[in-house]
Amino acid sequence: MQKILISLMVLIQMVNASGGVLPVEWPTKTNLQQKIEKSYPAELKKKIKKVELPVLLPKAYIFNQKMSIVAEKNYYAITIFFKGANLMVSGDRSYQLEMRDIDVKSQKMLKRVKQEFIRSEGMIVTDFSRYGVSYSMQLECDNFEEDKRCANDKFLRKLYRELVIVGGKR
Amino acid sequence: MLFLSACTQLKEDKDDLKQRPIHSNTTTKRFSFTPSGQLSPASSGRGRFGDNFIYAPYIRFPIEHAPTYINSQVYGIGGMYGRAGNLCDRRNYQYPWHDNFCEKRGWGMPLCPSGTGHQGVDIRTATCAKKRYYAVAVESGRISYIGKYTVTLRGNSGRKYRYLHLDSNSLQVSRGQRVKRGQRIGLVSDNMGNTKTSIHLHFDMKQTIVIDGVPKQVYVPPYSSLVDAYIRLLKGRP
Repeated sequence: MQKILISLMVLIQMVNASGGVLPVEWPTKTNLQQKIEKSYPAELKKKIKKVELPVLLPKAYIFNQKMSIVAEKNYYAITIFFKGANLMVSGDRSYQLEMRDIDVKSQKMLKRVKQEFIRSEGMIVTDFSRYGVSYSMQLECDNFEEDKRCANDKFLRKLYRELVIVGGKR
Repeated sequence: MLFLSACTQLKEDKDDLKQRPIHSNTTTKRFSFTPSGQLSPASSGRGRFGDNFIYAPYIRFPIEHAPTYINSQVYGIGGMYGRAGNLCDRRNYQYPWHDNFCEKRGWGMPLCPSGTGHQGVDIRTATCAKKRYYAVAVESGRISYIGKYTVTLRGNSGRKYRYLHLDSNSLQVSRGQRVKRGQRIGLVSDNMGNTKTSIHLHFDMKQTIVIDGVPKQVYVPPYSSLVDAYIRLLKGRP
């Protein structure tokens, strides 16, 4: 009986839980931007052409030869390989919960959430929303205790400031 | 009315589950766990006590086989702030489980009462043996990132699951690979790049919650989801 009830409880939670795909607030694209986008590497353009959200990358690394691209309609994750460190930039249109799904205390906590650059198990991470969807940047150093790039958030902040749209299907 | 009654019954059942050891027919050892958010020792910080919400319903437990032990690496025996002793002390390898989400750390964590804390939970495998036990995919999805000591799975639900400290040479997946729920990812080890850590799996979950129309991507508490998944694993229905 207990097993059935636990299963039912989880099932009710699954049915009641929200989740879905967020609408994208596309920025206006200038002629100059269109021209610049044409010059981007063919491999990059090919892999992100089906992604239905703005694909962001730090402008200094758009032409980086060492990158891995995982892309789907509502999601992308691009890893740029530096010497001794990796940077992952990802964007996602999906959401799993809405305010009504969580308790009042958590709602209050989440309302206060602002973008932060945090250390997370040796990595420097930042999550933010832009154009109505979620983005994340994560910097992982092989030697995070000695590598200056992971010692504080300066390097990741610099990369964050340099983010530009490199593609995405409107 | 019937629904309310069912909900009350479910709540009672959940409370019951929280306080009592669960007996399993499939393992000789009794599984028990302390409530979500009750950190041990108490000096290890303030957890999200009372938050029994299952943020990731029906995930598969992230380690292939039981038994496993969720407890603190830092405040456990042999840990940096724990009692003196060996990390492999058998007392670190016994029930009950103890939540360690939000355990004291200097890292920003919006959902922790203190505003900082541990972003996931640490899980010990059956024994202190290195590179013997497989971590597996908690849901079907795609491997979005592999770093020096991190593997990230983006589940089909959109949740992101991080697996830390796996042995790099044992990885059974590659970047971009689609994986099925329960598929092997790699062997649990003590890999943290050039820094050593204890033998355990750090597992965390990030998901997007829409607050006042704004999506916020945050680390959410995995403990209740893992208790639920582990009970299913013990029952032979992972």
